[in-house]
Amino acid sequence: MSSDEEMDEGADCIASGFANSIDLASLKQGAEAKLTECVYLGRNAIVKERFQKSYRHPILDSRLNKARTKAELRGIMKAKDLGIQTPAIFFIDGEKNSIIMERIDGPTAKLWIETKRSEFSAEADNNRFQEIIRGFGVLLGEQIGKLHLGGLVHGDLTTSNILLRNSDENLLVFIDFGLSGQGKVTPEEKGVDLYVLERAIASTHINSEQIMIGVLEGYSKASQKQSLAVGKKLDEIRLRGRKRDMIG
Amino acid sequence: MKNSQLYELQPDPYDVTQRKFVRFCLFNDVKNAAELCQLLREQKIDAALIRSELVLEPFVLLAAANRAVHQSAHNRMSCRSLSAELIYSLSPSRNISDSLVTFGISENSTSIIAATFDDKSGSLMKKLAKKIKAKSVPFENLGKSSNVSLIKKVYQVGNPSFAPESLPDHIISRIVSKDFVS
Repeated sequence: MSSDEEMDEGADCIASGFANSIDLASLKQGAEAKLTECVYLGRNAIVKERFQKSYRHPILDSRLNKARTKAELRGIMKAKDLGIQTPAIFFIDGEKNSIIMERIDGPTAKLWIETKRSEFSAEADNNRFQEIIRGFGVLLGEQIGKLHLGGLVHGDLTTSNILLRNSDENLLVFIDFGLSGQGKVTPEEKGVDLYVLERAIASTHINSEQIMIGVLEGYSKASQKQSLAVGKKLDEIRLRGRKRDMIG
Repeated sequence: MKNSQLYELQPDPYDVTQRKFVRFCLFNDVKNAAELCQLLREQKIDAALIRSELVLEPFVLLAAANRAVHQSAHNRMSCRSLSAELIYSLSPSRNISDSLVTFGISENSTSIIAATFDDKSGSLMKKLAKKIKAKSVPFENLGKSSNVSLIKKVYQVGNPSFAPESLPDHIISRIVSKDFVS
């Protein structure tokens, strides 16, 4: 048959290297969303699904999930425009509030810091460890400064929401922008962002004051002016907590 | 069909009960682009004809195709046909006609990607290829004819501070998030 001659061997097979698969055993569930590792069209990825919370009123629940998914996408894209690394977005299902995004190869900042701590656990190495985490803080602070300068507050800065691509502290990747805000961002909001980070570090890492000292140092590198205004607010917030006084 | 490449998509990723096939074929030295445009306008071609210089790599094309079949499976298409939806899905813009003009074939195109859906046997592509006066080349050549500086302009990635290898990732993020951002 003449048509058979035209047939290229293998041309009518499904192309390899672009398959989908999901690893249901890797499911991790937080308060907010479920994370599952997967492969999307051949790329390592992760599905983040903001599932229904039965303890919330259904209407409120769907609005919150929608708003947070949207805020997350907007935050991730805005950060990219500002030159801050965030995961690539591969697929969005607006109905299920699920996002498929790039899987970042590397530890969380939390894990990285604690790994460094055990590497330098000897008494004599303590100074070295303090130097390392301070250096890390400077790099982190610089990135946060850039984020804030561009008018984006992350909303949930913790050492678990920062990843180190290939374990490289120069390649910080910010994740979880579900509570991010942008537009007209006041020094108050920026201050709260830093305050949340400070509290998060204090409660997850012992003997790690140097991180925050580094962060503030790096933060001022991004913009002196912003750093002064936010620093002043931060001192106020430390006294009263992140919620504003409602008296009067 | 020779040189064409078949891919499997899941309109709802990881829901294996649904599957959709898309077939791509790259054509160079296209001689009758004006005629093809006319046929498209008369709806005599049931396929997407895409300007290949704006497509960086297969993954970008597939992510856009997956977006298109997802929208179609949920009756949320922005365009009238799945083929048009694919072209619209490649664009960072939400303006449909701008997107079709930018990413679709134009009268002076010389290199195009043809895409057919539900064409597992390749018969649709075969029929289409008869209408295209051009040389089909293996699909691995996709990306050789892409115009990176034009791509950067179209997707508005002027930011200096990101690595060149992340350009496709940036483009895909732009594409899939366009309905949710702004």
